[in-house]
Amino acid sequence: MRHLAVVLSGTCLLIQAACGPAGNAGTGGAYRGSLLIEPIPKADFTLTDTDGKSFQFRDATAGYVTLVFFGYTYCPDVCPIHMANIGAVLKDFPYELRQQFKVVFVTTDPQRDTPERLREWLDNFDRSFIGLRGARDEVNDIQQALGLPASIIEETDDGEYLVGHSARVLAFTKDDLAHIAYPFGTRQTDWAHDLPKLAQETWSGR
Amino acid sequence: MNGMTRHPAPWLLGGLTALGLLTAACQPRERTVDLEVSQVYAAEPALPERTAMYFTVTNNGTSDDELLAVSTPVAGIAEIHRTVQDGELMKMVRTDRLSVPAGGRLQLLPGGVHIMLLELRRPLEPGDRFDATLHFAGAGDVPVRGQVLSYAELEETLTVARPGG
Repeated sequence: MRHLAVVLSGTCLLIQAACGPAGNAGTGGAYRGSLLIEPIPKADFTLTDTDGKSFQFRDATAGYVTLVFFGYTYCPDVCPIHMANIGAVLKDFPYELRQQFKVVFVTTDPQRDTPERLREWLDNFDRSFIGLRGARDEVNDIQQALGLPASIIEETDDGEYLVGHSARVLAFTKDDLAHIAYPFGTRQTDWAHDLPKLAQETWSGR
Repeated sequence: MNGMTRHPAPWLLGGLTALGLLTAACQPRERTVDLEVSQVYAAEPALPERTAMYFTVTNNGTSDDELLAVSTPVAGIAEIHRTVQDGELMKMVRTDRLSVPAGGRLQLLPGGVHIMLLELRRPLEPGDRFDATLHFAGAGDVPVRGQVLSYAELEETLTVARPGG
């Protein structure tokens, strides 16, 4: 068994050397996303999905490359662009590759983002995107458990409000750890480059 | 006293005229505002009541100008919003005026500045054209015509701004 492990690690190292940019030992050289200093484990939480069913995050996403984003549907600029980009890239993947991913969108605005609204909004980008809702305090606790800041409500003059939130997408690989985060500005070409690699990533030899 | 008008000496008249002409020739040309609007897009709304609009304004003139407002028949309300990074949080801040400096460019891009269109009056499908008017302090009302793109197409068409550099 020990010999097998050695052979496997050796192979992984070789693959990384072949695929990464030449001579790059720096921050996530093989990836366009930002390598996190400390990988983040999947927080243990349960929220409600757009069908009204309980969604136990760790169990439901175990073994999948899981992309997690916190946003809200009343945001016409950042949130839809992130989701649209991911949806557009995943759509082009062959079936076997596509099946290895789950995309989870958690609303930071449960007051206005009803399950129906959330589902309708997500369906614009991909009908399989998972939408989760929970009380604001609960969602803020989850964000903090994942190393993200709590979102904040800012009222506007006309009685409406905007929500300030982190715009990073956390990417959990199959080891159930998030090693990489994708900021707003990540382009479709970046996702197309990174996502297939993430599906095969074992992080050994780093 | 004796009714005779004293005329300035001819050489003085000539000199003053020459000076006048010279001054007129050296006056700076009247300041101009010369705006060109391009890349006018609206995103296909993810939900029926709101979406974002983007465009680029190039000021080829010698005078600074400012965008004060936008109006369009397809939306009841159009607000200028700037996306700002506050530490880890991204927020939208409503803005009253956007400067378009002389010889410069104002670019509305995802993640930067956008026009939030609210109370949409009709469905907007990718490929649809729509009218809008940009209201400038100097140039006044500038009519434009834009195109609706899906969010995925928008990203391919426009450079996405990275807030905070």
